[in-house]
Amino acid sequence: MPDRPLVAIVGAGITGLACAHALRDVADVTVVDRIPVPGGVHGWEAAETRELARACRAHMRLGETAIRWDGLALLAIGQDGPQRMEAAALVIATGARPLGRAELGIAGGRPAGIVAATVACHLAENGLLVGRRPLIVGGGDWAMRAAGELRAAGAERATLVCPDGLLRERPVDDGVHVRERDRVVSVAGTPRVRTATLASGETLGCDAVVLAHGVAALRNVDGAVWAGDRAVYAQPLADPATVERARAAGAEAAAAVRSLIDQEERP
Amino acid sequence: MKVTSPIGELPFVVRGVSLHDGHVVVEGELGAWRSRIEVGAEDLPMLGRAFRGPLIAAGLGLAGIALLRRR
Repeated sequence: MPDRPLVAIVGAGITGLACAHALRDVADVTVVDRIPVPGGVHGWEAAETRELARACRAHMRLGETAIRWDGLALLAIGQDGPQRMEAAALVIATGARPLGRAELGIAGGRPAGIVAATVACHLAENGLLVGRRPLIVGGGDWAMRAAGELRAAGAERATLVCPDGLLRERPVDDGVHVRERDRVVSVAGTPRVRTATLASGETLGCDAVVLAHGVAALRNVDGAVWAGDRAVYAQPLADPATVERARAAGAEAAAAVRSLIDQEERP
Repeated sequence: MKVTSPIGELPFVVRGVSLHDGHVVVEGELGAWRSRIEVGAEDLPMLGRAFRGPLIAAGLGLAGIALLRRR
């Protein structure tokens, strides 16, 4: 139907697909994702991914990177070069990231070896170890996953520093040490991080600091970083992330898009 | 078929196989990305080395089966 509003969704994870599914009867939806398969962190082989991708009836532009939103159109770059797609609304469903060093208030120089848990895990999966004695800041899903992956990739030991305590079951691995209710206040070392000082006053030796604490929305589409200009955000920030929460966030964003479209159509 | 890459494990779907300039060209899709694999005569030594172990194992297995059937 040509008179249906066009909606662009960035992110083909469960949240983006659930949003597309909730809008399928009221809008022509295009889902853009830089990864060439749907599913996001949940994976393309998961039953929920397959079911939603099939049922949402959206135009999928996978393997394309959304670059810029100007309030009227989304610029994306893929195998066939840049493409500009007009849309009445943009939904940002690009997931979340752990808090960065500045957000965690970690002082000190800028030594090498301080990485986000998502990066550390990705490197470990590909056989690259960020450190043999990493200190992992966090006690939730990202921290536990980082500890497991780094140990599996060859880390001698990993120390979890959990500002909010351990949010998951205590690791059974003897090579993973836990310090609850403490936080890293500064790091030191040149050129690579060698020590981390905790709020309790203790200084721990390490050769990498993995940031895995807190959850922040990942917003890397230029022009759609802040609210406004017909952009809607579908980024559940709860830890642990669950399929139910992702679906709920997608449905909530779809309701916001409907309301936005209704407002614009009102004379 | 699956291909492991730096961005994770992706499905590879073969859409067609053809011959171009003496090369066998396998065209397909790596997820949503159009992809092609070209294999030429210059690749045969490498393929021979890579498949040497499995081919020897398969040969020995077949020989073993043939001997057992003769008995």
